[in-house]
Amino acid sequence: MSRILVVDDEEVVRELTVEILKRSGYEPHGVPSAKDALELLDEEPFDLVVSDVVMPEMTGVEFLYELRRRRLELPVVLMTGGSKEPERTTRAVELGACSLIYKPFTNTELTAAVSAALES
Amino acid sequence: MSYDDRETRSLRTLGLLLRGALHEVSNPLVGLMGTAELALDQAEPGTKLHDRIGLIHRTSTEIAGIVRALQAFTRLQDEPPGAFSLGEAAAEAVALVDLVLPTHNVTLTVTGDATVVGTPGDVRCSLVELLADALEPSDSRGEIALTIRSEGTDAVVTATGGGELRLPAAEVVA
Repeated sequence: MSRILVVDDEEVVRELTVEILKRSGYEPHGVPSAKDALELLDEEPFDLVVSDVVMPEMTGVEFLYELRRRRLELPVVLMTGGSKEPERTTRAVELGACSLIYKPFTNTELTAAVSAALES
Repeated sequence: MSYDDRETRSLRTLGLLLRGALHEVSNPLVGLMGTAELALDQAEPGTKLHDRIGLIHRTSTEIAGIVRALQAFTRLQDEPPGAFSLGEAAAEAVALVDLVLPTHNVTLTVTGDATVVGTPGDVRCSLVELLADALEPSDSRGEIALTIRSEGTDAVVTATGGGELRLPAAEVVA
């Protein structure tokens, strides 16, 4: 069973994402910030990260680059409403550093993005 | 400050507010749509509860469609100039106008295509403006067509009612 780390400061989205992934047979774990995610990744292995882009302190794109700086090569799916850091987010996708899902997404779109990222 | 400068600044402010609002709306919409979908699975089909959750799901999905279309439109404003299909741009403009402007009595269509050179976001804005002008008469009904044709080295889009947009064509497709 794939372990997925869900990072979103918005509680509603985080809890729903965890619930949807749980129902789809994954083992998700939700945290409210990139800092919490990095701490958890130091302690536990995960197969995939699903992260929001717009978060206080550290954005999803900064978090992604920090993961790569630490040589953590697990796949990353960024969730974005598209209003902040569009150029850096698009650039990260173009470089193959992550895949992207636009909010508002449906449950099916979320599980499809996760499944594709895990297969890649 | 000149009138044009003020207008440009006002439009930039409106754009910023629109982007911010779309972002802020997208999070609650994920919650609403996703929770409704999960609840729909749990409610017994044929019950009032199932119907009511179904209504919430359909309505939130409809709102999400509008938000996505506007997000896609605003994302295009960041794209650099280049060559692209005018037919596709017109079809996207038609889809957006169909979603967000009152077009109940009107069918919007696109015919023809050409590859043009320009800034994708600016061209989409002009196409939406063309459609909005054609829709302006309050009694507008029937069909509003965007017709694309080549004219010399240009591609020209004409709208029912007389509006026109002229762009340098990279290559006329049809």
